[in-house]
Amino acid sequence: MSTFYYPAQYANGLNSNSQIRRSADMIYQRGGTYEVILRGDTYYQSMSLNVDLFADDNYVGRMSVVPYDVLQSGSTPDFIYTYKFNVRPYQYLSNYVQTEHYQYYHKNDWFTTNNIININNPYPNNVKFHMEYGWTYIDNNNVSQTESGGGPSNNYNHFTDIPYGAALTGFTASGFTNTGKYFDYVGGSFQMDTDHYLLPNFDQEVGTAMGTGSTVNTISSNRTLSPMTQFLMSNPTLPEPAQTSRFLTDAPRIQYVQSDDNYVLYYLAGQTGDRQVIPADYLVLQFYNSSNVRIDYVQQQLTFSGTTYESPTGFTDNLRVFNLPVGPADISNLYSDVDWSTVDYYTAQIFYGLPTDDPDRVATGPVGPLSEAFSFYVVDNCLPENTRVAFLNARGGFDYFTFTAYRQDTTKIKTTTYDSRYYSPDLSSPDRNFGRSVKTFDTNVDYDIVIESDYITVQQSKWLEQMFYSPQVYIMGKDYISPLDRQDKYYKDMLPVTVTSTEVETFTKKHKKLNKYRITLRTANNFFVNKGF
Amino acid sequence: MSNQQTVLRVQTNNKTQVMVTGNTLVYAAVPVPTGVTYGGSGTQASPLTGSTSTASAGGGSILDNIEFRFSGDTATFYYTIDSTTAPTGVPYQNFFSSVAFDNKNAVGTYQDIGIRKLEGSFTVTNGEIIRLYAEYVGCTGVTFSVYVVPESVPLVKQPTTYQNLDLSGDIPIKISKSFAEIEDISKRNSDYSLGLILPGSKKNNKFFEDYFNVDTQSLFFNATLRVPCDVLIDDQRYFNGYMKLNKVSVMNSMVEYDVTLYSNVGDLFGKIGNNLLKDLDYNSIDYRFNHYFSIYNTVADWNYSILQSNSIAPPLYFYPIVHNGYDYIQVSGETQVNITGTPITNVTRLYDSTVVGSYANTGAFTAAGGVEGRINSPTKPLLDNQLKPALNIWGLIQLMFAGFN
Repeated sequence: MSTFYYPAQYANGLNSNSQIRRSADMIYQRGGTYEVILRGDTYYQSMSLNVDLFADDNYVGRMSVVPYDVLQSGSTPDFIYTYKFNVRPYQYLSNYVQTEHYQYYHKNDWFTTNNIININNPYPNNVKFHMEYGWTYIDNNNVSQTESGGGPSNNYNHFTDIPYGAALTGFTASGFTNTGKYFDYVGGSFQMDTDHYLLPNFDQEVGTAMGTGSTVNTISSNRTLSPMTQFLMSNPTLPEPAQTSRFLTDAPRIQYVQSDDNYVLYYLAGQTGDRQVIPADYLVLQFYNSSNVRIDYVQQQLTFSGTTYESPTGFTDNLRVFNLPVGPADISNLYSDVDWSTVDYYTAQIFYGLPTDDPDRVATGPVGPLSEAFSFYVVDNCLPENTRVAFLNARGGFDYFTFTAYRQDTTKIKTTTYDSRYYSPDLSSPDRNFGRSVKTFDTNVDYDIVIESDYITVQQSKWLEQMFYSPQVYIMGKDYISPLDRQDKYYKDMLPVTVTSTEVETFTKKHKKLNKYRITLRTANNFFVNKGF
Repeated sequence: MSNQQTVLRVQTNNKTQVMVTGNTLVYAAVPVPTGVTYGGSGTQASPLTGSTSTASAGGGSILDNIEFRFSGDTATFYYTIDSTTAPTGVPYQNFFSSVAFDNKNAVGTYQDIGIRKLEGSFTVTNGEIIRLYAEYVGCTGVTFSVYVVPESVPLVKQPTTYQNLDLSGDIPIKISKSFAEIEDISKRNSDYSLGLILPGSKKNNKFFEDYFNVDTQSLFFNATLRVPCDVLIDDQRYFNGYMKLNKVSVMNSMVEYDVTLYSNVGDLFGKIGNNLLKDLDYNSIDYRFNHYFSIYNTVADWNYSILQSNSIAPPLYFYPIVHNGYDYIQVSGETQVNITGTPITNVTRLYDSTVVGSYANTGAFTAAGGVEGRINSPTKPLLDNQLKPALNIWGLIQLMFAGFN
């Protein structure tokens, strides 16, 4: 009878070094390899690993992985065979990550709004993942043998050091702790080259400190090599290093908005699968006039003591993407009345607070910043050419940009007609009133919009290019109240469009370049016409 | 851009991985016929067993329409009716069992005659009733033993749900129905079929479980099975049939599923596919051609009551007299039927030469050249090999519809 087992490198149970990784990751990327090492006393050519995939604890699929390497060791007759498997679940799981821009919020009611757009968001753009594996092979009698007779049952766990625990475990793999099975995949993308992760092997997982034994003391003792780590800011230093950011965007941290614009920041909060709490307790808005004097200050508590996002229990993995409306229109509608005529710019920043036993669960705070400060300069454009575009960015949030230079709407109409030889002997009114003999029975409308940006910097251009290949682009109108719904419910005016062509005009002066983009958008919804007859 | 919204709705893949043994109950309806006693719970470990001691009018025993009722999951019903205690040489044994659905008579019957120990099985479903009628002449110790073995059923029973797949455009539906050629039903494979390319969107990838991904196994989606589907236009069902995945193409990161929708009309022929007559389910309850090959079963359908019957459901099998053909010999260089050769038994004729005449007894008939095995023999007019089995085409067609519909 053949025996197989998953060898542990150390007493902590680490099976493969690829388990040394953060639990959070971006799902749209190449590679993302999870290694499983199996050892046994028999070589079977048909040995494979069944891997059951779970999205948000629902059983969604199974992979069957063949070994990428089989090693023979020991001596006859006691050979030992080591099978190495690579599991790559990212592509499959990406089907379970859904995102949409939120549709509405409630005026002057952040709590209800927060429940709608964050806590109960049906398209949270992330998924909690875990997998269970087990070996299987076909023996010499053509009988399929599986581990423990049933389905796969071994959890794939991640291992991390606990850098700030009461008893330090040390920065070596043998001292790492099994932090559980849950992984958080966020609907962001990750490019090996442009994101400065130049690894020779594309299949190598990112976010792992490579090596065996005590080689973890690389440049990153806290696994900052993970592409997600820079968005999981729980212990910021001030000023924030340029490479870290809390908000899921590559947008310039200085934005120009108009006093009735919307803007939403996206961030991750909650507890990761490897049990690091990424808090976000307060939104702090600070308003300044043109003399850089702070003229107003607004704080909004985001999470409350005793709630799952403030105080997650030991095993709760509740990391998710949060929406934080911070545009001038959002501020007026949700948080506070602000006299925009005096505001020159304002900043938005996330702070942490201290949990209390207050009966209203109000935390003490805000205490200190947890994110970079986003600056919004309020500049109203007096021209009527405003076209505000919202698009899904590469990091999993939405970005917003207003094209102010030019807009041309084109409507292409195609009609199909038929001949109607109308004749009725029993009508006495003049024939010309209804004597139409060519009638329209089908009308097709293609609605194209050409917009142009101002001359923008190369840095802004690089960011705006994400819009050109974004799968979700909308033209964003002003919030409105639907006649079909209640009065204090503000809907987003989101017109879906696709980018059909892009032209750029570059203006070079000495060593400075400025780009002007001309973009053709086509509306992506159906155009209904009055059918008439 | 069309104002018409076409939606492809497919039945959600059955996510029932864990199979457990079902739960089926069999019980004899009360009151049971007089003289029959029984006990047991109807499981394989404890079959429902009983016996009869009451003599029938003919001096034997009778199991008069015992009703076995079933509730729960679909199961296989095993039965054993044993009359081996009957004395040997009993001139006439009669066994008859009747199967009825929902208390309706004459829906699906099965009989076996003259079998001292009858064993077999049926598939039974919830609410079904099987009636057993058995009569034995000259035997008072008939016993029966029945039990059910439930089929495997999913641990979590899910209602049929549907989901809408993403389309790359409106489904081009063109109606061109015509009266099909009746001569060749295979040409009527379907009312129409419709080829479609579905984009590899997240929703579609979920449904097809990343079928293009060689690492993944199909867990709930099965490419070899048809997926029931509808095409809805403005929430009204416009096309009803099933979908089949033909191929998946991957170009760069663009995944496309090539599927064909088949209309339900003419679906029978699609289901028959390449199956042959031998692939029919001959153990069906309703159309059960299998039977014990015995002298009683062979001649049972020659009973006058059967031959006089005007039922639309004639016996499923019959043993007609089939003439095997003649013995051919060479006579003067020509091939002729052997009608004069010797011995006389080699001559294949239905009648022997002593056709005309009257005889005082069998001996006189034999002395005059009469031969047993000829149809004019007063004692044994047939040789047993002249009765050949034949199946009822009506029953076969019914079985096709039952099996492939």
